[in-house]
Amino acid sequence: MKLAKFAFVCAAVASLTAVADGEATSSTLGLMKVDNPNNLRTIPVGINFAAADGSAVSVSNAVKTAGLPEGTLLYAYNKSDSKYYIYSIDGNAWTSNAKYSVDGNGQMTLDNTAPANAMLLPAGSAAFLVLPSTATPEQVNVITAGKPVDTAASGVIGSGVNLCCFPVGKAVNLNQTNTSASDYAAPLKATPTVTQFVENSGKTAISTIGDTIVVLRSDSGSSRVYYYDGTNWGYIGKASGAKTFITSDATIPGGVGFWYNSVQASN
Amino acid sequence: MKFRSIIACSCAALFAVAAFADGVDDALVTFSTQGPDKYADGTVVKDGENYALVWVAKDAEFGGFTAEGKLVDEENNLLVGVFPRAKDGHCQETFVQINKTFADTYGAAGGFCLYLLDTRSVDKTTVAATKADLEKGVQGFGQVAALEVAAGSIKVTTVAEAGEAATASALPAGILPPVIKNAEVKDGMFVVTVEQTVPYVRYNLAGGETPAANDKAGIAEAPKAGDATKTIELKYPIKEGESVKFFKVTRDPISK
Repeated sequence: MKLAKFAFVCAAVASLTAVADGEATSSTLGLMKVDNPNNLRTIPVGINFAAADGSAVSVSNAVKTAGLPEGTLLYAYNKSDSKYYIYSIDGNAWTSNAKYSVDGNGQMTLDNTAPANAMLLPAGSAAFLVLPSTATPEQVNVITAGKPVDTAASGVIGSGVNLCCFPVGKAVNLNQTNTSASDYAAPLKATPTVTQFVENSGKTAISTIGDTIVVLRSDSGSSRVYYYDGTNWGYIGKASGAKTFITSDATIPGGVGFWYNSVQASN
Repeated sequence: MKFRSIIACSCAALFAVAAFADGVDDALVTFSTQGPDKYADGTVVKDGENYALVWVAKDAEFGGFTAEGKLVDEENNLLVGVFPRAKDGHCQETFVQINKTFADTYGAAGGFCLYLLDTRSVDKTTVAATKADLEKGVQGFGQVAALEVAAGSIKVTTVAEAGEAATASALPAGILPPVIKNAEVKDGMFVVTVEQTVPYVRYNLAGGETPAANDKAGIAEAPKAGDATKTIELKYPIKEGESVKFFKVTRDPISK
């Protein structure tokens, strides 16, 4: 995987759905089932949650180790030092492992300094899991946890591969017209009508012809690639027996992480 | 006096106070319901279930019960008594002798209501039989009859059917939200281990397609009563093609 630059940031940690005094309601769990994960051993995980006090949730609290094979690695991007922090499962707990940085040419530089266990992942960020080659589960269940975020957050899509998710966790039809400021519909089209996901250093549009979005399909363990043709997002699929560019169901399921590969020049 | 319309029972109520009885200092309160009285989930009231006779001050509303069987608004509401009088789907004819001065004073200053309590155990096989049982869990309540006592006369008010969900009993102030201790997928079940629960509240899972997890209530295989001394487990049977992706622990819904 070529990682030229990872520049997605969550500019706003949204307000929380407060648990009122006297209500018997817990925090929330997310359950993502991935069938046949061996077809794609890298699983993106969207962070749709915050910590109980509204701050960013830590890696160890955001992604639960239960159900993941021993040796699974978690890669989380720390924008403060532009490095990937790597954690591994050791005895059912995340253990800080190493860091590495990726330069503009996709070259990786390993830094064996163990990252902090309390690395924070703001809502709207994402991490990805890498299953060990020795594990061949038929299904992997990824459990996330935290307090739901109910307000849209801004984000920046930078040049190259961006690992991100929509913080509120709604399913997003990439071609639907926005109707309100909190609506994530069509956040990535050329002429978005709301400000979410438009903060790309002064550019008036995020998406450019040639941009792609890669979404893991949890039902098959494979991924679907969406392409932007200047007007709509779509994928190559079969319709009436012939391969065609399908735009009718260009929807990213709620709560999943995805890769956005931008061909724009670096911001 | 305005009574909040929180009817859970489809019944015609017969409720009367007679300001006489066997002594000059006593008043006789009689009440019954025609039935069938029903819980919020639509099932007919179990034999032995409890009815609460409550006084509500004029210009005040009934504040409801807590899950421990106490009144929420003890300033404007008074619990006259709790009576395990349900049999054959209704409240049997009940006679209660009370102090006449009390009846006159409180009758002039407010009115009396009869509430069906939902004190069923988690498995819904038994109801509260003792005061201690009541304090372990009043999950909800519904008004079945109201009465106003005008000066020198008796006025019976029958509460019409409303078909609305019963009101869940209030949680005591300061109760802490349940905390998820662990979660895992095991034998086709999504198993959530919960701590910081209380015994007088039933807990369940709610789920949905977004992190709000509020599309479906009561999706656990079975609700569980809380336990202040140890964790409890709530299980969700995972189904093929299931759209529920987010879960939270909530109070067991009084109406599904």
